[in-house]
Amino acid sequence: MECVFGLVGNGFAIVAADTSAVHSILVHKNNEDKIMVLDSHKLIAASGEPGDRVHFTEYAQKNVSLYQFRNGIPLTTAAAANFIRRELATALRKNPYSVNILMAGYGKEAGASLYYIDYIATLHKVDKGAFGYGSYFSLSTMDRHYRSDMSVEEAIELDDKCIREIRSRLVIAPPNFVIKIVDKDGAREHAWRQSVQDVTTASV
Amino acid sequence: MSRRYDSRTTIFSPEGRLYQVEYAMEAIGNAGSAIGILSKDGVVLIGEKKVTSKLLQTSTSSEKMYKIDDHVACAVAGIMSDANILINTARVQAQRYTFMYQEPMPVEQLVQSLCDTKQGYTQFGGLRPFGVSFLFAGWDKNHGFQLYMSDPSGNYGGWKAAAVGANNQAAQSILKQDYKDDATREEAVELALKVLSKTMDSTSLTSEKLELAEVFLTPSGSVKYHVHSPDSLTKLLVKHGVTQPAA
Repeated sequence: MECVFGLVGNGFAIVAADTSAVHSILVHKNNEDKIMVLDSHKLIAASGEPGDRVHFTEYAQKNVSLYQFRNGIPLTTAAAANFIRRELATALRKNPYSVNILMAGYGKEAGASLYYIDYIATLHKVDKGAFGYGSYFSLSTMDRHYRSDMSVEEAIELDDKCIREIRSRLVIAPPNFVIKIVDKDGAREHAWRQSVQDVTTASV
Repeated sequence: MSRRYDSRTTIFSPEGRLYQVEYAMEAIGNAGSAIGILSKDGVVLIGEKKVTSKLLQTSTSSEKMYKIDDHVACAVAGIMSDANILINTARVQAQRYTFMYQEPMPVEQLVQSLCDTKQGYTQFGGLRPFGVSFLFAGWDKNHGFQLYMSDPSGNYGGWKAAAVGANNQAAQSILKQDYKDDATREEAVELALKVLSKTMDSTSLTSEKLELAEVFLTPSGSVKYHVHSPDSLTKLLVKHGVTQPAA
């Protein structure tokens, strides 16, 4: 029941992902960060098989870093998205990765952009996107309220609407979410939305 | 002279030299010269043709200039058959990059990638190095117009003006004196023609013996590689007072 969604606002892109690590009926942890910082101005929010998710996103991140070390310049958001798609497409015909990715990035020429890359290597540049069962609720909510030049505050309000919708309408809805943002100042964590926290001390 | 170390391409001589690489550069020193000049609105490449004959199909074959990708071209000096292999390698590398990233390959990365190939032939495999030097001219959004020179050892450098092939040292020293940083493309063409006319061995300069190409941006912003026709070349030679009529 993993939920990932994101949207592009005015000079920024924002992605939110649930933070439950689940195996069968057991929740391992409630604060698993599924949004990886790819480089200074790129984020990938990934959902899917946990092993594949971590393996593939780390592989993508290391290759993006390698490019920058080798060539002294970072990849553009579009180039990085196409690279990731190419790797998924190649693996698809041998050992597919079960990972869905929303990639958010900021570049000087292109501005803020969001890329939808699913596990069978579909690539779309989008204004808003979502994966998982939660997408039934978050996409409809975003379709209703999204505008192309939203401010950060308006985008966070919309994100919160989506999270509320997911929490109230999805059976086995994930309780916690992390929200990360990327704009001209870089990629960073923006907020957490937690309704359940891990118990660290035994209650008497 | 340590002749014992000549035939093994991939080992050093006791003096620390790679003889095969040096001999490759000798071979290039006997080939037709090529000059490249960077200007603020484009790059000019000019080459001296060694094979001149009325029978040659100039419209379909080119001896000195080749297009690697839409945004990169090169001029060649040395053994033509070696050059063809490397040009094909460069073209594949450029397309492979675009296949992966859906963007044109940055010029320096293309040059570096090709030079890595050339370096391989100086270190392993037991094969001789390529007897070709290149002048790469291109444009990308990172560094704008660029000119690179590479040699058989796999070394390369970015240049404002460079010469390869016969009499390249003489050409390079004239370029050092006469090159101006903020020249326009037209001025660069003029300089290229003048330098070549001074360093070429032949007595008269006609459009038959030359190839001239320019890499520049069209008004719509796309990169264009344009090879001058023989007529256009003749007009330029006359305009810059460089042509000497045959006696």
